[in-house]
Amino acid sequence: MFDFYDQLKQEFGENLKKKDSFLEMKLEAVHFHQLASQLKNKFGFIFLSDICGVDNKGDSKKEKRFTIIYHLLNLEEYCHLRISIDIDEETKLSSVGATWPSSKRLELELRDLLGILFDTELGAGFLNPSDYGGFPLRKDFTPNVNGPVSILSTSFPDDPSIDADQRGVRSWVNIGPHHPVMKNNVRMILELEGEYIRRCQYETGFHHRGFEKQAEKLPWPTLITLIERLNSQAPFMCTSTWCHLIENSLKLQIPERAMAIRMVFIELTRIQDHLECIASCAVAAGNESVYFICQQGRELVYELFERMSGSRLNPALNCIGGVKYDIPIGWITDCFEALKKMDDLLTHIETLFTRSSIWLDRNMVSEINAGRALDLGITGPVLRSCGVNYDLRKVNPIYFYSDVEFEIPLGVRGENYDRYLVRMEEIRQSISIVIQVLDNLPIGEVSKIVENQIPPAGIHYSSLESSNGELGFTVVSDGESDFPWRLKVRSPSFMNIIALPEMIQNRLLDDALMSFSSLNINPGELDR
Amino acid sequence: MRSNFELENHVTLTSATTFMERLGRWSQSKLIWPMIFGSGFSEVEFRNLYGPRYNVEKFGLEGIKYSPGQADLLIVTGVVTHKSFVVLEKLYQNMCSPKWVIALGTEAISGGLFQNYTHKSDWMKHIPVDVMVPGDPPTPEAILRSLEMLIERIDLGVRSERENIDV
Repeated sequence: MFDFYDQLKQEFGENLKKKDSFLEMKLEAVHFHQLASQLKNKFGFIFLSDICGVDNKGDSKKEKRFTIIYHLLNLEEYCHLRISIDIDEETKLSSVGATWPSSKRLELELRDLLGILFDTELGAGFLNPSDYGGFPLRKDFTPNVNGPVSILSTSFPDDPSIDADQRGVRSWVNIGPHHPVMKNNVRMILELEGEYIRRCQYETGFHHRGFEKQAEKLPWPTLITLIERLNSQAPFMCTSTWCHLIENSLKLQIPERAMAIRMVFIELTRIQDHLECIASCAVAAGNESVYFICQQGRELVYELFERMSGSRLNPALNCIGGVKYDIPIGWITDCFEALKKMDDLLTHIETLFTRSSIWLDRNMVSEINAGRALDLGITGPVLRSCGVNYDLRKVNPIYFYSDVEFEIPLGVRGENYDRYLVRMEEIRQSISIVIQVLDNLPIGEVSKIVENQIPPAGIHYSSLESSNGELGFTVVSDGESDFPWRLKVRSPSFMNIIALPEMIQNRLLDDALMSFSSLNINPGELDR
Repeated sequence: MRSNFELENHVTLTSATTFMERLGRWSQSKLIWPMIFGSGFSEVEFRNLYGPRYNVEKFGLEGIKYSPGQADLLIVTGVVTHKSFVVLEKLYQNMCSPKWVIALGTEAISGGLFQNYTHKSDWMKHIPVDVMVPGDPPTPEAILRSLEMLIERIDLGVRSERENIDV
């Protein structure tokens, strides 16, 4: 790490600053575009994890209207580089899509929500600003919604690579958004040639609730209630990331027992979410019995949540400075019993699925190449199923993740079957983590009282390995006001869906739904 | 001989005017086909009712339908946004009459925390709602109670909100 930092320091000089575990750099827009390929090829920043746009209107310290923050990642050194660029309202930004293809969807978001101009044509986004009367994330936005909001039409532009005869046999199919497998919120438009998918478009944004705009209106202590509602399958992951961010920025050390309790609940949530993914794959394949087994496993987790905090889906347990309640008496025994039952259920699923030739045949499709997955900004089990060993619990361990023993399961071919296997093995590893933590649960208090919950002025970023991938929050605070200046969510579902068109191209129509389920897209996290 | 025979004890009082209407009400109350729209905590919780723990089939809700033509109960969950309302309205119009609507969860009823440019706050003006279930998410017991209430209403011949408007 140190040599690498020196190397960067030599190249960029005084521009580069070190802040906590991050590197920060301020560049001019033109300069960054020239440096992009150098950063990727010479310094190994192959992974663009997020782009966050901030509107500076009303902030007297900033001269220019917008600040764009690029989050780059060097996976080998685990070096996180933040590049911030100040631009004017009229400045046209060049797309870095040629270097990091994952930037395309993030740039679309910048264009639609913040009104940043780009010098290239980007295509249709998930929100049409003219329907809402402006760019929602700007500070001077006043909503003006008249009449129905436009959605994409079921059509494709002409494919120049084929002639008119071939064009004649192609047909268009619309799947979703009201569909059990598409989570009621994603629309897939397919161009078919017989049974084979030739082209795919997807439309999202049906569940866009203005999460980031809403966060700017809520005071710091109440924000956690909003953040719980980001992901309906794994709310505890979201709040843990958020609390970790605030505690990190305040340089707050939370009690050891609170760390352990958080770890237990993070892993239980991971088990629950992975089971949900396997259940929805089973439904897409028409296998109801495995769906019910998975539901049984999820009910076990829900019961544990309910005993802990009274709420089944959402253990509203986290607070800044620790957790709200201590583990009740007898809960640990219940947890061990539930995990034992869970193990039996997993064995049951394995006998029905893992060795089943039908499941194998139907799932040996939709591969993603490891290099392509990194290009597209995919994280989590989907990335690990391609064989890339990147798990934030290992590379950047928080709490006691460096002390517990667990393995990171890796796939080989990046197919649906690999994704299924990786998830199954991760459930087993999570069970082992929970058992290890509960066996060595530290004693003491579970929370600290934090009077001041406002992070100091500046940009803060924190991320956690959630069940779908890297979940991160970027927070811009001015250090005084009760409201955050900007909150940006780096949600794994938002990025993972980019792989969908490439995965299902030239595949059978039947496989499309299973491939979609294997990505485990959560609508709340996808549209925010 | 039946000396203290009272008609009221043996006949259900109903607002149905014809026998066929009464039969229709009775049969609908025994078998309802729900269709679930939206996403969020409430949607997850409603699906869990079909899991191994809560036997929702005993109310006659055999399975979740995803085709509006086959459904007579629409369950709206999650925040109704301007964009999803386009879909919701189309689905509602294609449902068979008499149709019933449940708004499940605070997010569906009022938007909950999400009071901003995306929330379609007046969606209930276009889609009349029969039963509202508060809570984010509502407990499974609350959802079961709401279904019980709805079935009671159908059986007693209470008109759905839609029919009230049409009259």
